[in-house]
Amino acid sequence: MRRLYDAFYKPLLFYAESLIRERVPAEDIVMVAFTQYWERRQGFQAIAAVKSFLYTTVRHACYRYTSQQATRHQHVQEAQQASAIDNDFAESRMVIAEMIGSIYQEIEQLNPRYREVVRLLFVQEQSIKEAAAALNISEDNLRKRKERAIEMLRNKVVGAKIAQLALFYLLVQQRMPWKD
Amino acid sequence: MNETITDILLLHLNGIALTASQEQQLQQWLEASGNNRNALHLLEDPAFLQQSIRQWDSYDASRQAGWERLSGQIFSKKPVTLLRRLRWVAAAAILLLAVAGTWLLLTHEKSSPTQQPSAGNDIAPGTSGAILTLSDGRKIVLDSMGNGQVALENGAAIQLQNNQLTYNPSAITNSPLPTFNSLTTPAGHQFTLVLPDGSRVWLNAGSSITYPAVFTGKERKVIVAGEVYMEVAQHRASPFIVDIDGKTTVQVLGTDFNINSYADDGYIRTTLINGSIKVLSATAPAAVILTPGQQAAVRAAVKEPIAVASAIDVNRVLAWKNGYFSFDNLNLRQVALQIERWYDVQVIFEGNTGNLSLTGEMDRGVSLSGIQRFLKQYGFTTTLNNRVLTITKN
Repeated sequence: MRRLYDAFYKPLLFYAESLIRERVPAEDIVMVAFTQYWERRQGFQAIAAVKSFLYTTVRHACYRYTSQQATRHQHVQEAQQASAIDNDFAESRMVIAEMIGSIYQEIEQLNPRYREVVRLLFVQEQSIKEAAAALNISEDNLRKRKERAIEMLRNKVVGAKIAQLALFYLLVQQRMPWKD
Repeated sequence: MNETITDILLLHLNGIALTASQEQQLQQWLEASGNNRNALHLLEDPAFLQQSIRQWDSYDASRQAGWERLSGQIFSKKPVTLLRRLRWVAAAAILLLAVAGTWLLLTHEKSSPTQQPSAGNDIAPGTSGAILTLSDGRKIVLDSMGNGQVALENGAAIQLQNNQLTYNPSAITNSPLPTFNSLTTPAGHQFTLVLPDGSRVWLNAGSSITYPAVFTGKERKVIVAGEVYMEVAQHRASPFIVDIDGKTTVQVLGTDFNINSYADDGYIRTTLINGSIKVLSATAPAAVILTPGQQAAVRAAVKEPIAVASAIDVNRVLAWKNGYFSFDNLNLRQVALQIERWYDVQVIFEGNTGNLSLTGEMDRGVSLSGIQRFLKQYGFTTTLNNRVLTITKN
């Protein structure tokens, strides 16, 4: 159960949050989905079925949540709009959640020395100075690691390890953190 | 679906040639709906990906907390209480909106067309939340957990209830030695704690308190930093001692007081609301005993007697705890320090911002754009970019 939880928690939360656009209720919705899975866990054979059950449960809970919210606000027009998260939209959001998950995993799989550099500079948009201080290394050292990280990712392009390419693609397109 | 659309999208995004059937599947998917086309568009946008990865990152804390909650439930077969909390959260959200709205009405804004910061570039006000560090070094994030037992320390059950942490010591303690816990509020968060002796502690943003999970010795000793308000429970046999920076201490019997050790203006200020306290400092020749309404000011590194001021406006001192900002002729730098702590932003000044003093009260539930409007009334121009608020004088 722990492994299942760890594997699906973030994609599901991302999914729920992108549907209802609020963090805390999204967290609750995901928790409820896991609880419901647990209650009927005997019925599942394949992991794909579990995944689809979890996504579907979260999706329905999000529908319910938005329509409840809307009635609570008593804005009838809004109610109609808000509850109109259609299946189509929800499904495209699910694809996004899955994609972000894959890309994220690829960053996590980088060697920690380079992963940290990528995270600090790229994800957290820190300056060279801040990142060097955070990692407790010299700025020069950090620049070297940064270049090495880019190089590694560039090599992956040739090696065609897919999702890392997505990251590379981001890095070369990103304007800010890579210029000092 | 033998090959999922996500697999194909990954290939596609990386510019890898798709097979005919993959290409067909992708086209079908794109043609199926505008939402799908929009999804691909988003995935091609580096800014969206970056923001999503960051969002993903921020889930770590609640994942851990959530697992503890979930495993507690599924392994002990307790009833699910989550749905009830959902409603509560919704109610709180509405209340917050109402409060923010009220404030906007209450500010004496002239009908001059204020430039509204765009919705995408605003920062929400601080919320309730803290990090609990247990004696074994484990850290528990308390901002997204449900109500219930958080941990067990030296026989004391630590309970979280409506954003307040409570220690319930049992009769049997496991160890005669104190086990220390600490509670830290990051910038943008505040929290309430009930110590094992029943004393209540409010932590302002960017503050911390270290205390034993069970008070065992002759005295009750805690260490604080930042700003705290305390209502100390009376236990005559066991005096309560607050250590502020290793040099300054406050000795208490049973009383209510506020300690502000941010030292925004260089001073640690202790304000007594009720009862009686004694303030000592290693750098001062003598201790002072305060009466209600008095405030002691200590400068950490300066050898000088402790300054005592009387007839302090305690409402102003406790404004943070009661949910509002209260500036009384406060200079811009000090206002900026409060903004930094509550909105978790960095404030920088550009050019000469002058020596203007600011006065005003406002709800701490407003988002940063509310503060920006407040500063505008004083003729400051503010720009927000990547959690850095730049203030310029017109």
